[in-house]
Amino acid sequence: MAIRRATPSDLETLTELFSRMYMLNSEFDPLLKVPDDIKERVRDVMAKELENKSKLIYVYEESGYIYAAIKISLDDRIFYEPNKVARIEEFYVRPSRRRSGLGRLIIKYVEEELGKMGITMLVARFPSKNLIASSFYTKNGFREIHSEYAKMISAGVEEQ
Amino acid sequence: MDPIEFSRKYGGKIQIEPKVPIRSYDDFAVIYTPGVAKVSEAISANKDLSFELTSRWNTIVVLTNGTRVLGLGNIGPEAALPVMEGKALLFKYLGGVDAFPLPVRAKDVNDFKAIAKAIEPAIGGINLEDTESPLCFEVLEELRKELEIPVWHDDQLGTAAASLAGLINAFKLAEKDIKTAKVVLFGAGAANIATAKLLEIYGFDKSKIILIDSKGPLYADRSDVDKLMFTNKWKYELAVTTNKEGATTVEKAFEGADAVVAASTPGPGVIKPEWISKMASRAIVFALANPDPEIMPEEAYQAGAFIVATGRSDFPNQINNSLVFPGVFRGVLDSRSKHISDTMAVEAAKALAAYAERKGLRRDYIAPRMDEWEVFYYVAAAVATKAKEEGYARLRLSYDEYLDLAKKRILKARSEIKAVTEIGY
Repeated sequence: MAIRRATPSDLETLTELFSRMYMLNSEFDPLLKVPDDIKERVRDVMAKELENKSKLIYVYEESGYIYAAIKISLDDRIFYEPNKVARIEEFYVRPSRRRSGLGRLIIKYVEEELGKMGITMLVARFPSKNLIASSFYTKNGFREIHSEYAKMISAGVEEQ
Repeated sequence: MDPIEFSRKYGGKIQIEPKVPIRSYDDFAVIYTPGVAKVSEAISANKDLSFELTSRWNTIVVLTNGTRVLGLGNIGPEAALPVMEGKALLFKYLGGVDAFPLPVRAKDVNDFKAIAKAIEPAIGGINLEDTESPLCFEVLEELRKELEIPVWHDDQLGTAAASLAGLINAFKLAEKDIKTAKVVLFGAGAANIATAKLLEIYGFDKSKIILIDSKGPLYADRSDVDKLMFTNKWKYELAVTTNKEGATTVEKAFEGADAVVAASTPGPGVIKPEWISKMASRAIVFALANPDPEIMPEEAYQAGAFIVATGRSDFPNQINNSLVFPGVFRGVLDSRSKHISDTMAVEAAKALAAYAERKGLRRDYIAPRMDEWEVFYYVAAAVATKAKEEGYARLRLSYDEYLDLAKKRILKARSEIKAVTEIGY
């Protein structure tokens, strides 16, 4: 039982878990609709990001089976202090291991790893209607600092 | 007789009649004003007196929004009324309970909550009926929390308690141990989701239960389970706690199973004989869909089943919620219970099973038959006693007193209906 950095051999599992996350997101809002080839897209991106030093990908493994994965991006935020932040881009825990404290354990581990790198701020982004995610992050000490509003627009056509 | 002609002839199936003697106009001074004011004052000072001084003690509503009526689906509240009237009649005939049919325009849990809270002062219980899933789970959960009268959803708990009763006896006959049993619940609608809950309370190992829905066996990491977490938390809960062996095909789920309880779509041909053949020896098969079971009994026996039950009265071993709800409501009303818990539903199942056991179990007699009237007294007394144990009963009597009360009240209702039948309408 361990949390470890993901390796290229984890590509298929990461593809499966993160595709599930995007498919779940699509349930919350039509503006989060995922394309039919979501898996291929996730696989392509993950294959590159496994090699990318500004992305941290961790997996939680038990007896050779991966139950959770998280991908964090190290970003610049030059107009605010602190300038460097870590952003959770994907985070998925299999249903069989939810409500067992695993999510909290992973967040804690990530915080420690980021601390070693001198990163002092962690950001998470998820669909507003995902109340379970909202409750999870709040319980883990996060608070809402930004809102993202979206609408569909028809380019060049004035609505009557 | 044609059911439409029948309904037209009688103009529906139930009516409200006075039960106090009216000998002269002077009686109205007691029945109504000015005398009734005294009764109102007494209740105003102590609301629980409404259970003694009015008909509230024996009155329930059969509440539905008509979104899942029989096999007809979402036909709306008006069209649900004849079904609710029929149910109300059964309540009176089998359980001596005055049930008022109440199909309503309710689209969500908040509507149901508002309606139920508004009518609570007039009634002693609510029987929720024929309402779509998963709304029915939410409504039951919320009403149980919000109200101080018992709330029951028959499509969930009635069927589940009847199934559990049958399983208790079938396991005895098959000499199987419930603690190590593998049970397949075929169909993951209201009935089987409740059955899973009651089986767990009774002592079955939940991790060895496998639910099967239209997509196959339910397991924690199935791709649609994420969505269930938000859309049907009851089914989600089962997805993550059952099927620990991780069966992903129907064949695998049936392999070595001791029992299957099917509450899915009418058969035959829904359950394949080759699946039954994969089950453990002395397999128990409940095929409860109506009008036609998921697999016909003969076919199930040929495939190796040891005991077969269906929902039909023309086959032996009928497993039907009508065995449960009359006694359950008789019990909660006689004890003036504030609640019906899942453990009380399990008590009802145990009382049913014990009744059949006293009569002598056989492979073709694992549950009481519908015409064994006296079983309702025992169910009522068991439920009332549990209500007392759990602290929900407003009227605390002994088991024997509850039994006598139930018997007296059910027999009285039966004789009244007999009298009406003799007078003719």
